[in-house]
Order: sequence, then structure tokens, then C-alpha cells
Amino acid sequence: MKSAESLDSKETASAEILMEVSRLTKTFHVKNGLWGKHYKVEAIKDISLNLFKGETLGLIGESGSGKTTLSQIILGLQKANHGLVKFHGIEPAYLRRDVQIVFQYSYGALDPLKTVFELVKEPLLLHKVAFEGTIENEVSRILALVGLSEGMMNRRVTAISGGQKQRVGIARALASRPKLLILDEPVSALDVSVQGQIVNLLVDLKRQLGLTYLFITHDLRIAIHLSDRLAVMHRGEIVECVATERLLENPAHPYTKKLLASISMMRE
Amino acid sequence: MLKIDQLHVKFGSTEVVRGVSYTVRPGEIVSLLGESGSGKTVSALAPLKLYSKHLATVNADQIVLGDIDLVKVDEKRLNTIRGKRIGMVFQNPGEALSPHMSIKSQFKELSQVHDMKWDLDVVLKVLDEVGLGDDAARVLEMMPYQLSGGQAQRVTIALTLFLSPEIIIADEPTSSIDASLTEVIVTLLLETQKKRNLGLLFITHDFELASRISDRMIILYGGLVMEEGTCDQIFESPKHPYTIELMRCVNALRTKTERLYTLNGYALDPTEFTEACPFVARCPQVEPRCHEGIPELREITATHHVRCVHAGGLT
Repeated sequence: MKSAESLDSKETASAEILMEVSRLTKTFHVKNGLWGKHYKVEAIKDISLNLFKGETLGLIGESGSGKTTLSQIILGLQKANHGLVKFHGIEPAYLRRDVQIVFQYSYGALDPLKTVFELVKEPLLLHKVAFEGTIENEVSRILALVGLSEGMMNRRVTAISGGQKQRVGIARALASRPKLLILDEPVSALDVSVQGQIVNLLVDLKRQLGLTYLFITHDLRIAIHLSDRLAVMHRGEIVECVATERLLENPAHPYTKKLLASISMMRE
Repeated sequence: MLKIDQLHVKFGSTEVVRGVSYTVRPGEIVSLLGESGSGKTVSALAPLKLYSKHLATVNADQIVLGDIDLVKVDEKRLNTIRGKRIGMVFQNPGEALSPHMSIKSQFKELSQVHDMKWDLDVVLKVLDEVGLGDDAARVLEMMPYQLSGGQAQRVTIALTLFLSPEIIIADEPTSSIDASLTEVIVTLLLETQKKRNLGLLFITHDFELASRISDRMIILYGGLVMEEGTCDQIFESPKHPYTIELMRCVNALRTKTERLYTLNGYALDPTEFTEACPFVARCPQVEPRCHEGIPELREITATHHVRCVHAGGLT
């Protein structure tokens, strides 16, 4: 892993570091039953990671490997026991505007009583990006970005399809004009015929807006398609973090080899 | 053997399933493949009358399990069939387990409902079968919330196997809470299916997964069977434009392309069903006659059927 990282840094030496995660550790204390024993679960073990401006870093690993905990610490939704996250040198908990998240289950993340217009308006007002006078223009602008027509504005979330819901979720994340988007399984809940639409949209948005993505997924195929670099998580550790092509050609860690074997197992 | 012939299901005035037929034989894995709104879950659950009759109107020419006609049986008899002869695995363990009962009580309740003698050895045996053998004693005393996601799914399968069903219906939620757990449950289901020679009806939206595990695939769209056949037939000579388009979407991920291949638009909601081929809005080969009515399900070979006006003429 050490050698892989140094090889990698050569390539990206010129790139600007957007986010720096250093020596992050998070331990949960779990109690087994009311009178049961306490025990510790180390969700994240001493993780260090750099995110460069304009790249897509895919974070892959099975459930329970610590992907979500890591993303929540980066967002400032949980506190780490040790270690630091620096975004442009500042802790991101104070920079909600610059770091936003798109959830897997957009259905649960969106208030079913609100219209698409209200849902996109909310973060605009919260982050003081637009004001009452300009809000309608701003909402239309963002909806156009994610490929939703103005006709959708007054529809409720319950009356739109899964793909459209995810577009609304992306629109909300974009409202504060963030620099970094954390994409937590953004297409896993979607139908196959719609997944591609959202993946293509994410590629377009990144180019158009100069975004940086941290793409969290268990779906190796989509991770490979989208990511410039891949970080493989296993039991709370990042076991490997290299350029996507290099990982495919020459996986170093046994766990990565196992993961790659699982996609070649699929039917040709 | 479970045999469903011409199943129609209506919720209120909305017809969700519009004449679906399928058969599941012992030792066979059949996938019901479809997107949200295609009717795949309703097609599998409505024959067991799992929807309240105030909600759903179920009509079928035939719903037969072995020698029992499920259309005619009363609710009391049906209770001895559901779970006992046809097991159900809902892949969202959070919803499948009763939240306020220990795992042991859930096994006890099952044995009471089905008039079985309580035998801890049988419980330990099925827990061992699903890979919880080492932890069995501890797991039995646990409440569902104390289980990890993977353990909860194993317990769900163990509860299903406890009643030794001959057929299992496995429903995969399209919006699963943690998508990566699917792999665990699928591997386990396949192992037990083989070992016990079960008939497995697998409901999924994942084309890749379905093609990997099943003997036969039934592809649904708009409440209708669009194409059905053995996995080889579907993979080597797909006939329906929908199947072909789906395969292109899946295959796009294998090649390093800048843009993924996609289908335009979204799948129909059942309230939008019309008397035309449901795929017209998204079909690249649409013709005026596609709007004139729903095409018939035509036979290509004895096991391969397609519902398209082009059927047979497409490569």
C-alpha cells in the first residue's frame, strides 16, 4: 500500500488537494442487551486519504466496512475519536455549503408533502444563496441543470418516478453551489434502464460545474466506470488506494483481488 | 409445482397485473424480472392472497400448488399453505422480523401457528444451515435490533426453512436499505435451494443477477410478460426490443465508454397503462401498429415466448 501511494502521488503531484483526511479513527461502544457486556467496534481505523480537486474518488467495500461512517465524519455529522478532516485547510463541519451529499434512498430523504419547487427552494434559502425575489429563477436554473423541466416544479415527490426523485436529490445538493459532492450509492436503488441516465448526468455536472466527487458504492462496475482513483475499504481500513486502471491491472491486496474476481464471475 | 395461469390483479380501478402466467417446478430457479411498476412483486404475492381483498381484486384462470386449487381454498386452509408449503423471504430483514420478539420466540410462534411440536434441535439445525451454527445459542436470545444486517437476513431465511417449504418466493426490494447485503442472501438462497431441491421464484430488478442465477427468466413490463425463456435463450437470442435495450444498458458497464447507454424516459406507472404495447414510448423500433393494441405473447420455441409485433423478425 505504501508503494502504491507513492507511485500515485507522482501522478497527482501537480494537482491541488481539496480535502485532506488524516489519521481518522472512530470507535463505537456497543452494549449487548440491557445487562450485557460492553464491547468496542472499531468502525474506522487510522484512515488517511487525500482528495484532489476535480477528481472522482470511488470508495468501495462491502457493507459494514465503514464507508458510511467515513462519509458522515467528512460531512461533520459524526465526530471522530482521533484525526482530522481538513477542507481547504478548514474543518468541513463549518463548511456545509461546500460539501454536500446525495443519498441512495432519495425517497426517504425527500419530504413527501412538499413540491419539487419547495424542496429545491429550501436549501437555497438555508444557505442564503438566493433570496425571495430571485428564488424562482434560481430554482429553474438548478432544475434545468439536473434535467428536470419547469413543468415538474409543482409536482409532489410522491407523483414522480425514482429517477426523477434522484434528480431532485442532486438538485438539492447542488443548491448551495458546493465544491465537493459525496455520492452515497446514488444509483443503487434505481432501475437498470434509469441508472445510466443518472450516471451520465453526474459525469456532465462534474465537467460543467468543476465538481469533485467522493463516490461511495458497493457496485464495482459503476465505481470503475466513474472513478479516476479507487479506494478499497475493508474492516475499517483503506487497504488500497490507486488509479482505477492500475487497480484493475494489478490489484495488490487479497481483498481487492477477491472483489475483482466477483465481477469477472458474472456472466459474459 | 406452482402454476399460475392468466393472473389479473386490480387495485381499485387500476389494473396492475394484466394476464401473467408462470410455473415454478421443484429444483428450478425462475426469475421475475422487471422495473418498478412492472407488476413483478404483485404477480408473485397476489396468488397467495397476500393483499387484502378490500384492496386488490385477483382473478386467474388457474392458481395451482401441486394438487391444491388455490383459487378455491378458504382463508383457513390457505394459512396452512402460506409459509408451510410456500415460504417467503423478504430481503428487507428490518420489515420481516417482528421487532419486539426475541429470535427464539419468533421460531416458537411459527411452530405454534403451524401446529408443530417445539423441537430446539430442528431450530439449531436450520440456524446451522444458514451459517449461524457457532452463534446459534446467542442469536436465539437476541432481539432483532441487536442483529447485524447480515445476521438478520440469515435469521429470516432460517425462519423460512424451519417450515420446510417446497417453494420459496424471494422478493428483493428495488430500494434496498443496504444494497451490498443482497449478495449474502442470494448465495445462501442458492445453496439451500440446491441442497433441498426447492423451487425458487426470485423477484428482482437486477438483470445481471437474474441471468447469473436462474434457469428461466420472465421479463415483465407494464403488467405484462414481454419475454420469457431459458437464460441461454434470453442471453443468446433476445427477441423483445425491451430485453435487447436492457442488455445494452447492462453491457455498457463492461466497456470503458465515456457515456453509458440508456433508455429514454421512465417505466410506466400502472395508472398510465393503455391498450397499446406498454413499451411504445421507449421502443427504438416502434411502428404505428404498436399503438393499435397489446401484441400477443407468441411462441418462438416451446420454452421461448415474446410479446412484440416484430417477434421472430428481429435479430
